[in-house]
Amino acid sequence: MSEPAVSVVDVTAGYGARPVLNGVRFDLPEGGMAALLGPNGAGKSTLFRVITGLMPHRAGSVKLFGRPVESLRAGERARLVGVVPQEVEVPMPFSVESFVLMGRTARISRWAGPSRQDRAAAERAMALTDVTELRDRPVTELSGGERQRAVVAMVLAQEPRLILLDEATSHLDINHRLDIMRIVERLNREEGVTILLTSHDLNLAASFCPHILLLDKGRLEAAGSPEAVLTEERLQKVYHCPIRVRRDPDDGAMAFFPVLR
Amino acid sequence: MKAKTFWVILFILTPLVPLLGLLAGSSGFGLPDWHAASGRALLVLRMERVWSGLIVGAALASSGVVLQALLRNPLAEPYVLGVSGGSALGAAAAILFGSALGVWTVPLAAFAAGAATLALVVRLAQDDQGTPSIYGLLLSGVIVSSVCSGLLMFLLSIAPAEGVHNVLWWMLGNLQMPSRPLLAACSALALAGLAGTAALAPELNALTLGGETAHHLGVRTKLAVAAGLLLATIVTASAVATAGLIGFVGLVVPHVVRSLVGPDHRRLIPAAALGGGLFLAACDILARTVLAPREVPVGVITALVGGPFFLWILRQRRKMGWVG
Repeated sequence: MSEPAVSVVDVTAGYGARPVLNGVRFDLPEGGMAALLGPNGAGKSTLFRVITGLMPHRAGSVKLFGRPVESLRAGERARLVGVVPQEVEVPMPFSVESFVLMGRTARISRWAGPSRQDRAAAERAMALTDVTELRDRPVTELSGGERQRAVVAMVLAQEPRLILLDEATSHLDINHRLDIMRIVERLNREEGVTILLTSHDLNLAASFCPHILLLDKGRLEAAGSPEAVLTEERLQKVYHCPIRVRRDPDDGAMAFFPVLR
Repeated sequence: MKAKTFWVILFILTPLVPLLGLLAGSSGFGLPDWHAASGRALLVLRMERVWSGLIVGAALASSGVVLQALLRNPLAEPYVLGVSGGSALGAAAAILFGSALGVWTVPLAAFAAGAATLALVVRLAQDDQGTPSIYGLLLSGVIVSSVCSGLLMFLLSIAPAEGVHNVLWWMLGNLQMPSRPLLAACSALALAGLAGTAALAPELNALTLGGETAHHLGVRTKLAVAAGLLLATIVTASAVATAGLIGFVGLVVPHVVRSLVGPDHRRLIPAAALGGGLFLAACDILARTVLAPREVPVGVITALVGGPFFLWILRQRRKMGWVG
């Protein structure tokens, strides 16, 4: 058995005196694709910050591919895990190409600049995300969907074994959401990249992710397949509002509706 | 104007401006008589002056580039953050009262005071989690700067008369160095800082996307930010110790060059350093000749000539730049 991509054991973390995460424990096997769900304030972002080494945990252990996250050097960590945030604020008009090349920051030679390998990785990433045509355009002038694809391309150029997507599609329209999710799914299936994403879109998460982690008040409420985890009772308990779970009559996909009246 | 055209212009100007600098002087245009001792002395004097223009301009421009990237703010530059003001205070105190470290006294005093000022500015701008906010930095920078200039005035008011003249002339921005060893010391410091700045280009690129994204890309963000601030302080201090307070170069040259070659720091840093150096050397030629035999402080020229010229370029290239 290879080491899990993410192994979180009894992790406690927080800001100041208040713990945001309280004894969270889960494994994500390499090659898996999982969604981390939960209401605002459940601790999803904090968990991501702990996994990426942005924030220290107080107790427990966090390992990436078998290595404790706090023992990883910055460059090593960047080869293991890449992050697509909700939005990358780009204040300067970098061209899409040089933006994507920034994914190679940890590998690029300080003096010689991008090598043939670096350029090849960027080309591949741009092709996979369909931004090759935009390469000379300033990132600042792209539409929301194009821009998020460029961010995904940057993270792909990084060639990490695990990609975290932190609300990466939440400000996009439905079509562009699907664009991003299809790219991510393809990476997972064809390249074996492990995916962990957070989302407030239950429909999207349930249809793309075979594994669901449901977080509530800093604890892991449930983990497993979408059918097992996302039940009406549990969703009502976690989100504090009645939610109907139905099946799409055409393809059987799970669909979630808040009960409005 | 394409980026390529800009590079071609830079490469044409690189030998041209220094050559003009050797020919032009407040004593008249033309190569000084090489066979006379006074002619040789004049030529050496002009060489030093061209050199200090190049090095000071390069230092100010690259310091502006670094600070704008680290703070992700187009207003950042050594003046606004108080680095120049602090360095000036340190250098003035050293000129008036110190000589403990020989030729290194003025540049090291400028560096120490500049670094202390920046540390104070960053400390004042920190929130309760220890991260300095950008607006906090700009605000405390402006405040600490004015305190420094107040202290500088105070130093001047208590200084002996002939010291006041030295400091005033230096403060107005003056590329004529009092001594060659001092110029050599400041240049060594500036060149070391410029080399370090160029080496930091990949981290600066990543940091313009914000600290968290840079972290995810594999940058040791705290170390990189500290290194960047230190390098910006070193080059600013060496520029201030060389030539006093020359405004404008650190703020506007980075913007103009960025709008021409793009924001990638691997190209931007050398282009801004070369452009800033040539710009200041060219301004100095004007400073020496425009009212000859009287000299105009070069800082006056950078503002009066550079201002409208750069505003024009920025308006032309607004889209590619960083203003609105």
